[in-house]
Amino acid sequence: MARKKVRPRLIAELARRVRALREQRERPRDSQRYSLDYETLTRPYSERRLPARAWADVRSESRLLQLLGRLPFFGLGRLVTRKSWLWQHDEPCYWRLTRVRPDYTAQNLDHGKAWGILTFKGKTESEAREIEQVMYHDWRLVPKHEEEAFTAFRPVSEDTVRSVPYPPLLRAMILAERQKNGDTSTEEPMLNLERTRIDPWDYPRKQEAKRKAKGTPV
Amino acid sequence: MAAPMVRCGILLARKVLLPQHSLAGKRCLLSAAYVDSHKWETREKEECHLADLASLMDKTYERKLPVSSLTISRFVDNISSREEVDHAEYYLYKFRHSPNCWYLRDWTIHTWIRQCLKYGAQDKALYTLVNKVQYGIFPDNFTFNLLMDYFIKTENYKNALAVVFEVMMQEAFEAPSTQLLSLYVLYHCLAKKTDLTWEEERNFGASLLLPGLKQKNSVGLSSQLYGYTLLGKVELQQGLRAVYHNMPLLWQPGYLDRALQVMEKVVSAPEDGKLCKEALEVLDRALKVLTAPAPASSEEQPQEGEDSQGSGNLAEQSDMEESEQSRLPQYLERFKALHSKLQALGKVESGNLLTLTTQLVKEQLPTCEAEDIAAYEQKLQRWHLERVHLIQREQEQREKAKQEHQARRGAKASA
Repeated sequence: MARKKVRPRLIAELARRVRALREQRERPRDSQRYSLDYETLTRPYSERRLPARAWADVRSESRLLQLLGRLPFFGLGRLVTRKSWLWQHDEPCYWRLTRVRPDYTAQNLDHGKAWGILTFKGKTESEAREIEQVMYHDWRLVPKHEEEAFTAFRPVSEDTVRSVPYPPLLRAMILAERQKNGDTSTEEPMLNLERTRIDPWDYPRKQEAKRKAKGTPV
Repeated sequence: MAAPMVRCGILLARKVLLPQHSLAGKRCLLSAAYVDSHKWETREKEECHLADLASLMDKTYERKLPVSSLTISRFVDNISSREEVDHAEYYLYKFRHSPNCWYLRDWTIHTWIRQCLKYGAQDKALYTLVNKVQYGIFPDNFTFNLLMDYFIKTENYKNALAVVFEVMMQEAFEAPSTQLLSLYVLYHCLAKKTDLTWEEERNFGASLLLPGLKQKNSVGLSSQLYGYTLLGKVELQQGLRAVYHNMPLLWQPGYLDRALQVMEKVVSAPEDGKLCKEALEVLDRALKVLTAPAPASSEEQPQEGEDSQGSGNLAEQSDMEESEQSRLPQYLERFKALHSKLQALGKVESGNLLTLTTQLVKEQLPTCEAEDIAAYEQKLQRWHLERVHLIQREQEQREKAKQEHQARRGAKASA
């Protein structure tokens, strides 16, 4: 069944583009989205109250860009930690900043985005990525004279056995299978004991992946 | 009738002459070669009309386009009067609140401070420095030295102290000249003032600690001790958070413990480092003050615990404070033992801290100054090259934009 030819709806297309442009221009900035009323602990933008476990931290700690606004070049190359990591883990966990983009509409330049290289529990990643949960009131700056002492980490050697020989019946079955298939290799069949690496619950996830997963608006 | 007038005239003339003499006799820490602005004055700068630049910046901000760092640096370069200093302050504020705020150049900040000092706007310079979050003024050590020396020369120790606190907040105690100058200012102010609020104690403590860690002599060690003492006092009276919040200090408790560790290091070190009697007396007094009103402070603490929201955070904090309080008698004993050991080893310096610092300054400042001046000249060269590069890039971009515009016009005309 041939469909009737649809004539191109140019005005609708134009309206769609204008709407997209206006949305881009008037998008809520970080300083609006993450502004907080410290008396009632609600975000004016979304009218939502912060979770109860965050109330104490919001009063005593600061956001990442609040710390960085006071530093030259917004603290490039400095180390920042989170109070929750300090309380949870003994090994050093920190971000080394590589790029900062503050939100210029904020009055005190205390919102924005930052990128850096993560070192979690002593293990450093190889690439810089966007820092997660920048707007949480959880961040602390490591002073320059304490950086060495803070990052000193001696990795505990793991002496786990990587692979182990099979039990005798299974081994006989595997060798019989091999013989049947005509495979004449004489290496010992080994059972791999390596666990899949499960990150701790507070390991920072990739921001880019989070944003892409939102999906396209209809 | 005429005689008194003449006498008044002579007195007035003498009064006019006196200030010149008094400035010449004043204590100048930095040599004239350092403060000399000849090299800076003779740098190559573009002659631009300020009104044109101002209107360009206003138009760019209205259209919500980013202003380039070259424009603001040209504006600050061409300041020629006191009112224009105020205009430049406004444009610096606007630049800081624009998308290009990260790109404010070092030479712009240096020029801004120099221009403020030249046109007598040192209060404005200090104001922009203290509100560095809003203006983006983060000077390097040479500029800090200039500003501090200006305030020392005019005997304005309050402002010099404010500058030292800013250096501490930025942790810019890299150059030995900055360290020496700030230690001099700090000890001068401490000699005058005796009772300090807890914020002042905390700031003094941090500003004594950071340069003290870099200086490897008796002044440095005594500054470390003094700094740790003041911070420990604030920690026990106001809580650990009061010490490290918004300060470049670590959040581990036990600042008095670290003070005693400094003493132990001096006792066991084979080198000649001595500790000043003044710093040891301060530690002694602080420990006695903290141990004496023991019942009063323990009454206050349970009250504070009830007033607070009873969350785990504050309970942990009061735990830490109580453990520090309980360790105070131990600290006192350790201090007495270490003090007697130091005296036995002869490692107690009996001189006044201020005189020691002045002596150190006189000895070491000339060498540091020579290094700084050489580094400054190299920096000037580098800034010049960067500026030339930026101007070239700007011109290339303008030509490209012009060509594109012409191409578009040609396409429109032909269509």
